[in-house]
Amino acid sequence: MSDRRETLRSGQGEITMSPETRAALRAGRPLKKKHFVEYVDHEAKASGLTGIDDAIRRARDDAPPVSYREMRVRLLLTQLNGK
Amino acid sequence: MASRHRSLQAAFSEFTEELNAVLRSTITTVPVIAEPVFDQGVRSFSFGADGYAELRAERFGKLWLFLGQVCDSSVEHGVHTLHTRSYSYGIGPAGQPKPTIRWDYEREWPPGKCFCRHHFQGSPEIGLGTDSFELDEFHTPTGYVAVEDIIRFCIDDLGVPSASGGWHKILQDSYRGFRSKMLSHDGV
Repeated sequence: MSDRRETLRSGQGEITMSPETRAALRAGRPLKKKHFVEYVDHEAKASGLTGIDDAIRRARDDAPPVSYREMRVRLLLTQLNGK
Repeated sequence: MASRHRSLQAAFSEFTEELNAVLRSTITTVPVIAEPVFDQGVRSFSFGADGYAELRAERFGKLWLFLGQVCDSSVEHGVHTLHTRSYSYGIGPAGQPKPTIRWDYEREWPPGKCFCRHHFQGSPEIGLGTDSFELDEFHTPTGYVAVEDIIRFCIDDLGVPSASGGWHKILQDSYRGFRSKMLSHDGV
């Protein structure tokens, strides 16, 4: 894994989620769109991308995923198609 | 995999429980889990935030496997039938996160794209006539690829040991259940 991801996973990087999104995730119910977007942004950063916009751009460009983590992020993004 | 229920959640829960039973009986004890969703009418699973199950193949050593699907349902007389909205499966060598081979499907074409929605891609280079191409450049067509097909490929082609000697029948039975009870909106 990249050094960047390790840093992010250690909690010392810029990767954060709001308390509201964390609470919504813990509740296990479908998220509001803003919380879902924040979650996908978080997971995109954890995968080594710069965030959800980077993930959307790479998916739109049909760029080969660089990792299984990006494959997962791309699958999450398919929920947003047309939304 | 059975998937007709009075609610989407019940259909999805049964689907993932049956899938996990098949995985446990064959190639991995790592379960698929429900992923976060924002649409009430959608459910999704993968191996979760860690992202993969580690496999050991006779010939290829340690590998990782990614499995994920996004599902929704149609409702008739109050009964939900689960459908695949998208899937993504990938395999690569342990320690290298980039997938070597992968199978993808999206029901809706991405904006501006016209490629085969069920397709196979990967990083290997393939010679063709006077040139060569990387599998990732093209969307090599496939039919619908069920999770059972991926498990079968892992065992029979890659040489991943199965927890059960009866894996062929387990996969056959699971696939028959899937074919009879879960169709995509395209009539897979």
